[in-house]
Amino acid sequence: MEFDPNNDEVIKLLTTLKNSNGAYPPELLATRKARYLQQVAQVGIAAGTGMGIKQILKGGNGAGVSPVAGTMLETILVVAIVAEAGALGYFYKDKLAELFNLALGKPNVEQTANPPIDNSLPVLQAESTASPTITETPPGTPSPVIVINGTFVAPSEVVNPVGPLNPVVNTVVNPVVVPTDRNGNQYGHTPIPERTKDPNGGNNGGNGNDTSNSDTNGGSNTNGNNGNNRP
Amino acid sequence: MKDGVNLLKAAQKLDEEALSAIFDEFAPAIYKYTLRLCHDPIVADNIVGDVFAQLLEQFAGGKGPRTNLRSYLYQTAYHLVVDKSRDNSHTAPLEVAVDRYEKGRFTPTQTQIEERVMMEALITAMNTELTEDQRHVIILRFLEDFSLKETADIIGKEVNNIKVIQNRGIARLRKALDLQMEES
Repeated sequence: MEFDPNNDEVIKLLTTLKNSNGAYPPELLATRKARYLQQVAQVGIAAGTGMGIKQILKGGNGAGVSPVAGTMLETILVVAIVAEAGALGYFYKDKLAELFNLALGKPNVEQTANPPIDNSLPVLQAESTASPTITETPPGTPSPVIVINGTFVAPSEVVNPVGPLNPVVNTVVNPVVVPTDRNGNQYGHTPIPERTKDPNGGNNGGNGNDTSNSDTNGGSNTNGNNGNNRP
Repeated sequence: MKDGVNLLKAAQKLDEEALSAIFDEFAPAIYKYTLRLCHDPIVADNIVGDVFAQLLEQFAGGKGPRTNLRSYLYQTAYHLVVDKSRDNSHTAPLEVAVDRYEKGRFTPTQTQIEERVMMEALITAMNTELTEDQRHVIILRFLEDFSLKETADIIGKEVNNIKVIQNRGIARLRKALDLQMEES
């Protein structure tokens, strides 16, 4: 790199300064080197020990452990570590769960237990109510008599007895439905109309004059439907 | 004597001889460099110890420099000096080195007297006129003979940035020396 010619004097001075003797004082240098060599020895010993262990585990270069034994040793160590980790995890599962919940920010669930029962305290006994007693019916009590349409019926045949206090109940088995004002289907309750039979054969409409049924209204047939009873 | 690459490889394997050779080669230079930065021989000595302790630690951990050991040592020293200066700011002058340089000289000639005056003026200007970066770049470039790239690596800046810092520093030094010459 070229410099400005005006700066040559400065560069020359700097070069002179470079050659100045700012040497390490010999006593300081000797002490410093002794300490340094001591550190080198310590590091060398530590590194040598580490390298030796590494070499034994790798099973190389005349070490006493064969590769198979090294692999087995490694496997055993891994299994032991896993087992130990599992055991610790089992023993401290509550703390681990707590830490896990804390990490996830879940709210804590507090477990509550029933308060312990103090057996020394007296137990309050509830007052029991008296049970109903069964009383036997005295002999000689008259059985109820049911009369249906004038006939006596045994009490067991009555579908809905009214009660034990009414010894005589008049029950209608086939009640006659009284027509009411209510419209609607009343299946089974529609009264069957009675059929009336004409004693004369029924066809009294006829064509001509029915003398037998003449009434007081001047011979007109009030019962005929199709008659030609014209005035 | 092993060359640089073989020395470094041997040191990485924690070879005691190689590590000792590295100390002999670089410890005086690191001391001088540190002394120029912190102006205190005791602190400079402690920093040298820390630099080589860190180097050992790195080698023991399978780390450390792979190529440029010199640059690595100076970089470590610079970081340690910066850390120390945060704890304790030293105002001791840079003349420590020059005093030793001047010791033992008798009956200086006129030229030597002029040179000494100029040297003191330069050191004063370096201590008072330059920024920290400018001073550091000039020390690495002209007193320790590092290249622009190495200087950039040690300081942790771009090469172009180092060029700018260097030129501004030299310009300031020249201006300060001219002024001092005019006054005298």
